[in-house]
Amino acid sequence: MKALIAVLGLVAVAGVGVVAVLGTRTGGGGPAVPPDFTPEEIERVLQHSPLGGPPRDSTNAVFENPAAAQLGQRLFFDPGFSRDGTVSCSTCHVAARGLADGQALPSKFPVDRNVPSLWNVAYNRWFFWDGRADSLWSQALQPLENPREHGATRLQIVRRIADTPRLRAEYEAVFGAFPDLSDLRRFPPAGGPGVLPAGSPLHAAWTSMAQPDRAAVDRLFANVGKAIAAYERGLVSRRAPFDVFVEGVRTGDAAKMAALTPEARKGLKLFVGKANCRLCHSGPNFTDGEFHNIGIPPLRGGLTADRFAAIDEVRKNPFNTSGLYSDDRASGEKKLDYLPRLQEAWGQVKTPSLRNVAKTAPYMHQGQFGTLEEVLRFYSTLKGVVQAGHSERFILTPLQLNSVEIANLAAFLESLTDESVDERLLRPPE
Amino acid sequence: MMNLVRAFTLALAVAGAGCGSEAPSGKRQVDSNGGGYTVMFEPTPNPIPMNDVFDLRFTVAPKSGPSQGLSVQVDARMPAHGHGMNRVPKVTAQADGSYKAEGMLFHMPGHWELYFDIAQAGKTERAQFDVDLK
Repeated sequence: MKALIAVLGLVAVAGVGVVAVLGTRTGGGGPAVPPDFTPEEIERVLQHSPLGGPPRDSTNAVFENPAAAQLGQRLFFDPGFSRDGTVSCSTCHVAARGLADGQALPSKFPVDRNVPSLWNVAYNRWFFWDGRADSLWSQALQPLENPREHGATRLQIVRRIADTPRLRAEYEAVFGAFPDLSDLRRFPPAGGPGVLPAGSPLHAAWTSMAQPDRAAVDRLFANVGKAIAAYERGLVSRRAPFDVFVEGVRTGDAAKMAALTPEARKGLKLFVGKANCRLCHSGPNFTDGEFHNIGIPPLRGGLTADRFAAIDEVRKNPFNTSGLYSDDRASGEKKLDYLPRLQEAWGQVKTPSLRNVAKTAPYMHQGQFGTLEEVLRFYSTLKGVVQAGHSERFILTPLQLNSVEIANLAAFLESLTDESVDERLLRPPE
Repeated sequence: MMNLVRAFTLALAVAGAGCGSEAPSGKRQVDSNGGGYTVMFEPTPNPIPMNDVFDLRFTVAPKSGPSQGLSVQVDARMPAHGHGMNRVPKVTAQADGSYKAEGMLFHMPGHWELYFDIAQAGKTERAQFDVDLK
């Protein structure tokens, strides 16, 4: 136990530090409790702001490299990484639509999931609605090769960089010399593994390659994801009227507290109180980053396994954080080793962040609801709920909110919109 | 030692930093339900954070008999929700006779039960703690 006591000693010193910092910030009086809130409500409110910067990603060596972010931004907006030269990441992740596409399900692509917003995407622990990627860079790779999305092949993707001087120069500035792909017998013009049917010509072109050549292409491909992730890390929303309100509470500044309308303040009280939204939408990014099944009726395609199946997918993915292309395999192994295949994961999808939520309609994993009010009415009545027969039934009870409470909660959710965005991030770089 | 734990817990609660954490009343020592063992633990970080990874260092002291040959498992559940953690922690015996459980994560606020299941010679006893996350 000696070691434990030593550790505790250090922690105690850190604790004193926290008190000292707080003392200067608040004049020793602690946060101000506005008259319309209880101290317990304010204690909960403070858990939601401020939001710090996105967490480090040690599995991506260039996660905070500005040159990598610029390359990633270029790749993000480039339709050249698609089968027919018309699809880029920005086709579905549209700045004017909350970095989503404004549709329940994308009309252009045969996929059965709502396009998730990319705001604050770098804060996630898992990626996609079902968490089948364990890093942002690994996530960014999958749509490129998915025949229902970009539909490019791995060789086309790396050749696009090799053959585009500016991309190639920017790539080499970040990742070093680009390998010579000019021998078409060793590196065919198109082809790849992934979802292509085995035996198809494009698949055969890939399997005919020597293993070291395939590995070289895989390395280039992984770096495409790492550059895109470095760019997406900048898509941060953390200075909304709600954050100004919390600053006001922390410092006793009434002018800042006025950043929330009276309706939004009532909605905030519901959020941390009667409506208990904080159960899953916890912390400063308003999500636990974990998975739940709230029984929303599917829009199409029936019930799906989602998180339950995704756990195997993320383990098998050669581009996961414990794989060959991770820059910190030990941390990836740690993350994946603790992951059980739980029965209760069946049908679960990830809790989305609520930051900028007013910009990202429609809502839910298949866009089942067009407005925030519709979402709140569902939680209020649970009308039409589909029970998958698992534990979430213990948590979900109809909130029985009246129409004024629904309007107030919606007003609060609208106060999570951050207008202070660096517009340069929302278009292709110069 | 408990005073230090409390001081730090209070400091964090006042600061309202991050994502919430364990209520300050959390016990750190309890006897197993068969009375055979005393379990004492310390989390890192301390107090137990809300929705962030933590590890546990713990000791299992038999009331009588040898302290060797114990098999120890750690798990946790939210009884009101009917679910546990989304992770399976790894327990390893340490050179000093204590144990370490790595990879714990309580992803929701509310009441958690933390279980230490100790098996020896075909008999299993449970030491159980209550953890309330704010």
